[in-house]
Amino acid sequence: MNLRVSGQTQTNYAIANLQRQGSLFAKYQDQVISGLKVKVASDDPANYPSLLRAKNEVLRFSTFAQTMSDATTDLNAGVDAMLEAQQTMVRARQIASEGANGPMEQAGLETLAVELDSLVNRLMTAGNSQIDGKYFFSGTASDTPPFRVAATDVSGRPATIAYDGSNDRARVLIGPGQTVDTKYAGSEVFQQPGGDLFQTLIRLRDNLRNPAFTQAERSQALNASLTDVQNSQDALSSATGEQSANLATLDVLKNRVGDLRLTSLIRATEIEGTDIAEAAVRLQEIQASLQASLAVTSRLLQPSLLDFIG
Amino acid sequence: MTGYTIGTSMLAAGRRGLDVIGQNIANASTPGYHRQSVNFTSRATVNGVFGMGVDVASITRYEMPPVRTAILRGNADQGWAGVRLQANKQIETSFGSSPGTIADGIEGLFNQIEQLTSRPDNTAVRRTVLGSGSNLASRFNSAGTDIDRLKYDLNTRASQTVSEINDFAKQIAVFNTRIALAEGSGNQASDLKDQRDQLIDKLSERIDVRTVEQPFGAVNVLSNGAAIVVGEYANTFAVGSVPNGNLVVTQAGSTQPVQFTTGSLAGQLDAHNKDIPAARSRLDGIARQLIARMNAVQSTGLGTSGPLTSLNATTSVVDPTQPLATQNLPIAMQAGNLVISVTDTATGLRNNVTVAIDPATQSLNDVAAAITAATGGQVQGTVNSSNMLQLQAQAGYKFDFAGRDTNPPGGGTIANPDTAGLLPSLGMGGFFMGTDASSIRVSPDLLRNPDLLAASRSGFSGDASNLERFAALRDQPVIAGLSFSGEFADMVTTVGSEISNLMDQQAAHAGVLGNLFAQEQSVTGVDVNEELVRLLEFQRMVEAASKYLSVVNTALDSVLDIIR
Repeated sequence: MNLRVSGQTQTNYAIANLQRQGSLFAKYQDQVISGLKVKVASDDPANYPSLLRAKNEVLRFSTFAQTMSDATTDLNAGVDAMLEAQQTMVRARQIASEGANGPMEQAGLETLAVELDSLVNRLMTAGNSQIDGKYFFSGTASDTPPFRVAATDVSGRPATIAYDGSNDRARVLIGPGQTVDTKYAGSEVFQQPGGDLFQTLIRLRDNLRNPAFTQAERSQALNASLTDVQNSQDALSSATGEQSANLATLDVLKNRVGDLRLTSLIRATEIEGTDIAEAAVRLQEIQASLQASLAVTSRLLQPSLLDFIG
Repeated sequence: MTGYTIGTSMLAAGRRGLDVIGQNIANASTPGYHRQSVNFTSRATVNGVFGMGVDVASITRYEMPPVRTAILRGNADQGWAGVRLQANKQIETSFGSSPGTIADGIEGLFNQIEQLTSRPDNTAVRRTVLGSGSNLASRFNSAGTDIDRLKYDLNTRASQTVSEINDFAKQIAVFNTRIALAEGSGNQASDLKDQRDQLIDKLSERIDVRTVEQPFGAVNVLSNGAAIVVGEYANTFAVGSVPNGNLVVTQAGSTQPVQFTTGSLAGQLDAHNKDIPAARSRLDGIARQLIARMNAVQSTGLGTSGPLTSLNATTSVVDPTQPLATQNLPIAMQAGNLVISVTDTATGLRNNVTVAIDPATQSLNDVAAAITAATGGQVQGTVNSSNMLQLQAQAGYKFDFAGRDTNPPGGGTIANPDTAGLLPSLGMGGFFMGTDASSIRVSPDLLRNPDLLAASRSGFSGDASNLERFAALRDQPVIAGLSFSGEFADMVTTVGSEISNLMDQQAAHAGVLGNLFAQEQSVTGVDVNEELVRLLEFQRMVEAASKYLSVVNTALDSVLDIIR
C-alpha cells in the first residue's frame, strides 16, 4: 500500500471494484435466470465442442427415433397385409383339401372355385395395400400399383397377375449409415419362384373348375395345388418372418436410441446448465460483497480535515 | 531597517504558498494533474551577513517518469486487447448462439434429410428439407453480412483513430512550443505540461508511444514504427487499403507502411487484417464445401420428375476459350469422367455416354463440344453469352447424371458418374447456388418444384438411396479431417478461446494499470487533507507576517515619537 493515497486513487479503486462486482453479479444473475451458464463458445471454450456435439446428438437421435417410428408403421402395415395373405392361403388350403378328399358335384366344385375367385381378389387387395396413399409392396416405386391383372380367361376372370413395381426394396435410415428395409418388392413377397401366391390360387381355381378332369385326375391336380399352396405359404412366411424380425430389431434400437438421446441430453445439460444451488450461493456472496463496497464507497473521503477547520 | 523587507517577503511567500495549495485543491480531481509544491529559501544581504526574509526558490511539479512510461505502455496494451476483444466478441455473435448457430442449421438440414428417407415421396417433407436448407443459407448469409459490416466498421474506426492521432500529435507539438517558450524564459510550465501529458496519455491508448525529454521541457513522442512528434513538429498519418484488402497506415510523404504493434489502432488493424479474414475464410470454407458436396450428390441423383430436357450452369468462366483450370472457379474440378445417361423417351431405352474431362487442357467450349460429340448430338452442349454452359436434349430425348444401368441392362450402375466434379464446379443442377457464406442459397428451381430434389438414383418415388448419400455427408471429414459441424465447432471455439485469452489479458492489463496509476498518484496526486494542513501552515505564515509588520511598524512609530 502506498503511503500517499489521493482522492483519484480512492475513486478509481472504488469504481474498478464496483464494476467488477457488478459484472460478476450480473453474470450469476443471468445464469440463474436463464438456467444456462454456457451460451457462446467464449463462456467455456474447452467444453463448447462437446456441448455442440451433445446437443446435435440429441436432435439426431430424435430424428432417428422418428424414422424408426415411421419404419415401424410401414413394417406393421406390411406384416398386417402379409397376415391377411397368409389367411387367404390357409383358406385356399382348406378348399384344396375339400376338393381333393372326396367326390363332389360340379356345383359344389363351382362354389369352391367362386370362393377362390374372391380369394384372388382378396390377395390382390392385400398386395395393393397402401399407407398414406403409397403402395408398400411396390418396393421403391411406391406410387405405382404393384399388381394388376395382366390376362383374363374366357370368362373374364384373372388368369395372370403381373408385377409392375420396383425390384428394389425401399429402405429408411435409422442410424448413421444404418438402414432398415421397409417397403418390400411385391414380387419377392407374393411371386417368388416356386411360391407365386396368385398363380397358386388361379391354378387351384382352374383345377376345381376343369370339367374335363376325372375324379382321379382332379384329386391328383388338387394334391399338386396343395403342395403349391404349402410352398407359397412357406415363401410368404419367410418374408413375414423377415419383416417381423426387422420390427423386433427396431423395437430394440428404439430403446437404445432413447437411452443414447437421454445420455446426450444429460451431457449437454451438465455442460451448459446452471448449477442453481452454486450460482445462488455465489450470487448471495457477491451481493454481500457489493453491498459492503457500496457502503464503503458512500463513506469515501467523508472524514476530512475540512470537518475540523474552524 | 530590513523588518519591512522581511515582513513583505514573508507575506508574498505565504500568499504564493496559498496560491499553489489552491491550485492543487482545485485540480484534485483533474485527470493528469501533477501536484505542485512551493519551495522557500532564505533571502540574505549581498554579503550574506544578514537575513533579508524569504524567497520562493521554485515550484516543484511532482513526476514519476518510470511509472509514466509503464502506464503509456499499459494503455497501449489495453487499447489493443480491448479492440480485439470487442471485434472477436462481435465475430462470435455473428456465428449465433445455440440453437441458432450455423452448426444447428447444418444439423437441422441433415436431420430433415434423414427424416425424409422414411417418406421420400412426401412433398411436404421435401419442402421441409428445402426450408431447412434456406434457413441454413440465411444463417450463413447473415453471419457473412455481419462479419463484412464489422470489417467495414473497423475500417471507419481506424480512419477515425488515425485522424485523432494526427490531431493529438498536432496539439502536443503546439504544447511543446509553448512549454519551451515559457521555460526558455525562466518560467515553469507545470500546467501546460499536464495538459500535454494528458494528450500523450490519450495518444498512448491508440498507439504504442514512448517519450524522450528535450531541453526546455519539450518531449519527443516516438512509436515503435515512427516518430509521432519531434519537438515542435508533428507527423501526420493516413490509413489506406492495399490490393489484398488489408489496411495499412502510412506516414505523410511515404508509401512505406508504419507498423504499430499495440494500441487501439494496432488492434483495429489486427482485427481487420487478421481476425476477420481468418474467421471469414473458415466460414466461407464451410459454406463452399457444403455447396460443393451437396451439389455433387444432388446433380448425380434423380428427382421424382425424372431425367431432364435442359440444364443451365450458374457459374460462369472468364474466358470460355481458355483451359478451365485457369479460370479460378470457386469450386475446383479435376481430370475425370462425366457419365451422361441419355434416355429415348419414346422407347425408354437408355444409354450411358462417358465424356472425358481434363480442366488442364479443355476449355468450356471444348467441354460443350465434347458433350455434343459424345452423345451424337442427343445432348447439345453450348456456351451462352454469359460464358455459362448450357445443355439441351434433342427432341425425344432426356438426360441425367444418376449413373443408372442402361436399358436394356448392361454394365451395371455407376457409383460416381461425375469423377471430374464438373457439375458442382459449374453450378449445374445443384442443391445450393453461390460460392461462399454471403452468396449461398437454395436453388430457386428446387424451391419452385420440390420434386426436383434428388432423393433417389433410380427416379422411383419411394427410393431414398440418394438421400442416404446426402446424409452420409454429415459425418464425412470435409475440412482438415473434420465434419461440417466439427469444423464449425472448431472455428467458434478458436474465436471463443481468443476472447477468453483477451479477457484475461485485459483484466491483467487493467490490474497492472490500476496499480501503476496508484503508484503514480502516490507521488503526483493531490491529497486534499495534506493540502489543507499546508494551507493552515501558509495561513499562519501570512498571519505571522501581518503581525510582524504591525510590530515593526509600531516599533518604528515609537522611535519616531522620540523626535516628535
